[in-house]
Amino acid sequence: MLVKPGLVIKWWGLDANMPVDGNLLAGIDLSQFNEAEQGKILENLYQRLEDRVGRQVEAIVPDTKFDEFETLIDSMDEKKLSQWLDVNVPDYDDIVQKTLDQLKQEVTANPTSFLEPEPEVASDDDILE
Amino acid sequence: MSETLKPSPSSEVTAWNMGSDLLYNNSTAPNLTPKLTTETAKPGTPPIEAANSTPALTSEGLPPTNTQEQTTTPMPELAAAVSTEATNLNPVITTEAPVTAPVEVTSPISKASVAKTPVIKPEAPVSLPEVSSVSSNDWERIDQEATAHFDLIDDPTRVTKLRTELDVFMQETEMAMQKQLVELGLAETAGSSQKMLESLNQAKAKKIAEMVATAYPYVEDDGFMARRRTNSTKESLAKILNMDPSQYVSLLEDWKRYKIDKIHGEALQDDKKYNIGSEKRASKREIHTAQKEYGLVLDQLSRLPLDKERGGQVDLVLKEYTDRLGKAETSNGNLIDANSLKEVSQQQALTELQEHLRQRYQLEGLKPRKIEARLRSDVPVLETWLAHIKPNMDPLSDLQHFENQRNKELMLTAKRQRAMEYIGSSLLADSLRNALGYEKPKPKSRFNLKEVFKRGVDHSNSRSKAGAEALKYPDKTGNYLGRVMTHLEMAKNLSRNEGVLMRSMIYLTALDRGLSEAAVAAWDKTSKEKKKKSRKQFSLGMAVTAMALARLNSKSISTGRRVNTSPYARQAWSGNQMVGARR
Repeated sequence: MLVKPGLVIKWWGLDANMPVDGNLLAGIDLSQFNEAEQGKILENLYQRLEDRVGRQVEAIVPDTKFDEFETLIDSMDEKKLSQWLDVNVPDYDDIVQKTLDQLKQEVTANPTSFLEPEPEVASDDDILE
Repeated sequence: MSETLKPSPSSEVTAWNMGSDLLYNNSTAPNLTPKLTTETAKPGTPPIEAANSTPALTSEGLPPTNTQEQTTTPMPELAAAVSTEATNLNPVITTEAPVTAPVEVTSPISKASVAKTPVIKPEAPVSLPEVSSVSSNDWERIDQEATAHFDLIDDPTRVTKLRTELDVFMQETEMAMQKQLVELGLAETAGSSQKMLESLNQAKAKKIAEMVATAYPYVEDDGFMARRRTNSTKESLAKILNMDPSQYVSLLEDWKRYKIDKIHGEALQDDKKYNIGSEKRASKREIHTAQKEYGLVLDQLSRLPLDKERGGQVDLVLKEYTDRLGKAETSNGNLIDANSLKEVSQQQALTELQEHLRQRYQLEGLKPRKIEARLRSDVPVLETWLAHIKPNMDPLSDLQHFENQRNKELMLTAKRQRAMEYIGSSLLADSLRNALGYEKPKPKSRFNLKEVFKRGVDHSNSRSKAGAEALKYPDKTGNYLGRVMTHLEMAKNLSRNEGVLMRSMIYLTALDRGLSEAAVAAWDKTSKEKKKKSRKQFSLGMAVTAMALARLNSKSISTGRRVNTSPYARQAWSGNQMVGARR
């Protein structure tokens, strides 16, 4: 089913009858799932996005710079944070966009696998036992 | 075969001491400590009840900038309570605009105008599940049991296993003895059952001794104190193994309460000591009664800068007013109708109070135009108040009582929220159910450090939900970004309190996974570099994703709007098939 501009949608109980006016998930077809499942899939997609981006960026940012980042958090200033990222992770938009594109392909190929959180892919370094 | 049990370590990880750790380690975090004044604390009430004051938290969690004199007492355990996810759920506390319930004014004079007064509606406070039906006597008993058993033995599930093992052994022994007696032809002999009972008791005692020795073996290197503790633990286990089933079930219930109480930390510990739940309910009742008595305007009244001191201007005005009301009532309406006298009297009191407020506003440095506007908006509140005052009332004292109860209720609520902030009561409840309810999940031998951060910062996955929402609805990015900023701060707080908060989180996650305390030891052994790496991945992942999505969404919105108005709009949206969801 195609979505026409201005079509009013409902999604996992949200009241906002907001027209589809451009979103980052264009192209994903989850019509075979009910609303709750769609919500779960998107939640897990987002979580995987955050995880994967975190792994990539962690390798780029040196520890000293991360200390600076944590100090910046105290200010709770989105602008400063954005500026800091511009300087220290200059291509972060691309990283997120590419990772999101990759995830969109994955979810299109196998949406059911997104009903559950991603199996742990961390190295032994990250594991407590 | 009996398992080897470990005595509960003396430095057992619990969540309840995290407050003090936060105080000492969180030096660079914003000062979120609510301040309490100490005016008229009642004996026998919790320390925070001395907080008969105006709450001193601003919406930013910083001390207010007004110059109202206060004797302040910092409340360290609340230091970390505000700047977290749950702050969104908390009522915003400010000295200028205290949290109020929606006001319904009964006085016909002022109903319309009071309804226009902006009112901050508090959202339902989130509170920890209460330990129900536990009286102070129960807690006394539980405390005694804790000293005798719970603090010595780490895991009740293993004790249950040992008891089951003992039961099986006793049944087998009894059957074997009966068989032997039958074979010897002594089954019907007088005194045989007594002899068998004695033998069974001996066998039981022997078996218990064996089990206890296996469960808690002495360690060669143990010093005097360690051996003494092992002896106490052995003694405790022997007693529990020997207990009647009904007695054991009751002990297990207490054990559960004790564990819940211990892990829920100070919040419930204070519940136990000071009956916070009932105190809160009592405060609410008092607030409601007082509000009702004075036309539901006490909350608004308490925001006015009235001089509430005994012998102060307001006190004098009100005394004269109540005197006049009394006289009007006894005048029998000989000369002037009593109601007319009351109306005039009320008008006079109103004028005097307005004059008093005018002076107060002038002292605050307000401009004349603003003063007049304020005075106008104060009229309905003052009128309603005066209209509800009866000659036998002490309105100023009632107002102070109302304020005290309201502040007390707010502080008690904040106190309870604190434990929930970092741990999350649902997580606890699940973990404890698993740990104590003998329905452990499939043990998983390993878990990711990052998972611990995730649980600590956002056990309800609210960020993932908001993130998914931002992916789907570009216009929702603002809400999502705000949540990410809050979670970044929480992650930082967790990392700064690795000693206690993170250990508590590890402990809870481990409980959830059936790993018990081994994981805490693993955490302690984990290198700083490894911990930092995990934290980096978690925090940077959050921040970078959020900032990038915000940008991409802003582009998406502008592009979307442009395309939407172009002849190619339909093509542009043809790829989006998300909403064809099965209804």
